Amino acid sequence: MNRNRNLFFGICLVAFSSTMALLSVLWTPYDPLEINPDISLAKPSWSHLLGTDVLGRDVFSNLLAGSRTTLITAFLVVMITMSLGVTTGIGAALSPRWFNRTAIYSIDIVLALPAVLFAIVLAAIRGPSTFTAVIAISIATAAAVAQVTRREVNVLLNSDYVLAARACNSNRLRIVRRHILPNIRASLFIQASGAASIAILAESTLSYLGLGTTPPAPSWGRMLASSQQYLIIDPIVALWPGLAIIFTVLGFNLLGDGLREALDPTLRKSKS
Amino acid sequence: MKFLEVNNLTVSFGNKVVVDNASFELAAGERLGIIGESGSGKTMIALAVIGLLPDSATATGSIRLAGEELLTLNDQQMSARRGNQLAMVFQEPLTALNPLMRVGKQIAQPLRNHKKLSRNAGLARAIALCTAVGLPDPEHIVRAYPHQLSGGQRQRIGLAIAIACSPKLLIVDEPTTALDVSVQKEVLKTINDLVQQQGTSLVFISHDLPVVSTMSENIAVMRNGEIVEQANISALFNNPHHEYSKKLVDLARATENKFNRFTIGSTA
Repeated sequence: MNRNRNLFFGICLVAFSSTMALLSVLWTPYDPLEINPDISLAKPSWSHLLGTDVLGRDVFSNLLAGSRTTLITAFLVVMITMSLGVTTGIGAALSPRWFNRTAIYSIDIVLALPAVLFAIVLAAIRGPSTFTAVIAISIATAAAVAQVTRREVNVLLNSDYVLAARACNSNRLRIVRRHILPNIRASLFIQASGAASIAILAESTLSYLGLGTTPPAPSWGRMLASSQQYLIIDPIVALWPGLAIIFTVLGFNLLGDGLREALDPTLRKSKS
Repeated sequence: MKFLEVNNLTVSFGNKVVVDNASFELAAGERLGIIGESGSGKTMIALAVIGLLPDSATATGSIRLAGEELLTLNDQQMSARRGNQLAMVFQEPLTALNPLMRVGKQIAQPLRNHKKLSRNAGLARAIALCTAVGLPDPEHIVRAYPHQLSGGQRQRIGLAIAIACSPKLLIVDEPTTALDVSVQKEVLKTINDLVQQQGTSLVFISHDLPVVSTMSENIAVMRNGEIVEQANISALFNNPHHEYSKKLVDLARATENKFNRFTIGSTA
């Protein structure tokens, strides 16, 4: 465990937010949507562990329920980003030059579009929702993943061991499966965990701008947005969703780093 | 008809000709050395024969293996012959192995591709091949990753991969350049022994005349993409024709003398 502290803390943090999300399905101390103006902006106490917001909703319950939105977004974004980005990247690297060129330019065009602007357009067409946010974030991150993957695969295709594999009758599929995927695995984990972090932050941003999760469904980004107006009266309400975002993002980053270390035989200290 | 016949082979990248009208032949079980300085097109000949030239290169002429023209085969047909009929050992043992795959699996790869061996049968063959190329403790070696092995060990693994399917033609491209001298000798001896045992034809590529002379009966001398002289070893040493061959022979003699003086000095 000493050898891989990143993995340990990463798993702990991600497990913690996952538990919160699971717990919220079964139980929250109060109904996260229940409004009670009598206890507006209450301080943390035994009855309301993290206090209440301006409408008297229990912050802790909202935080639990909000983690669901956040984690589902992160999960969907990682799935879409990685499958789209990695297939595009590998496909582009393996295909003839003209297609490779076209792919590079298309990826560059997508990368040049500001992701937020893209989300605004998408929200205008489809209406704001968590799903709109997921699609907008996925396309933006998939382009980055595709670009990095294509470059790495290109380098590997010219490596001696791919040449050596071809010298003993390995076909393309086999070369991709046995030589290329394992050797870009480390960077794929980093990119997947990066995509998860970006997704969480972007979902919060988009919800904050009113382009993501729609009220009244709780989301960490929206909690931050609504607490902003009362920052001077009660700064502590903004603290909780902020901390939750920070620690979950940190968790995913550590998880990615830790997995990379754990899976690289050259970094393992003991002879296996 | 000889086993391998290369006629007027020309390899070019656009306008740049890297192999110019090369012709040579090799009988079954014979050993041919190709010698030349770096950039003279030795490796390009090897890659052309095994059909792994970069996409940007074009090859014209004729390469016939056991009477069959190789240059007109498509990639799939060529692939079916690679590893099986002809195989290659690469120059850099450090980069020719996949760093994330246990070496046993890599040795078993051509066998599993060609003979459709099961995983366990492949591993058993890999252990046998490790023994054949003179690796100690093969049961442990097959479970190691490339970075856990020394340069000499890695080059032996490369050799084991190449001979796994008992190819009829083995192309060896500067196999010992990256190794230190004492390891060099042992690896060369292993290659020689294996080739003689199995009756494999050998194309041995090097820039080092003394090394080539221990590894082949005939030598082709290359310069700037052209084969400038072809002769058997003793003829080349006794009567080199081309300017460049003379230089090589003189140089080899000088090193030999130095070496002799050194051994005499150390025994006295």
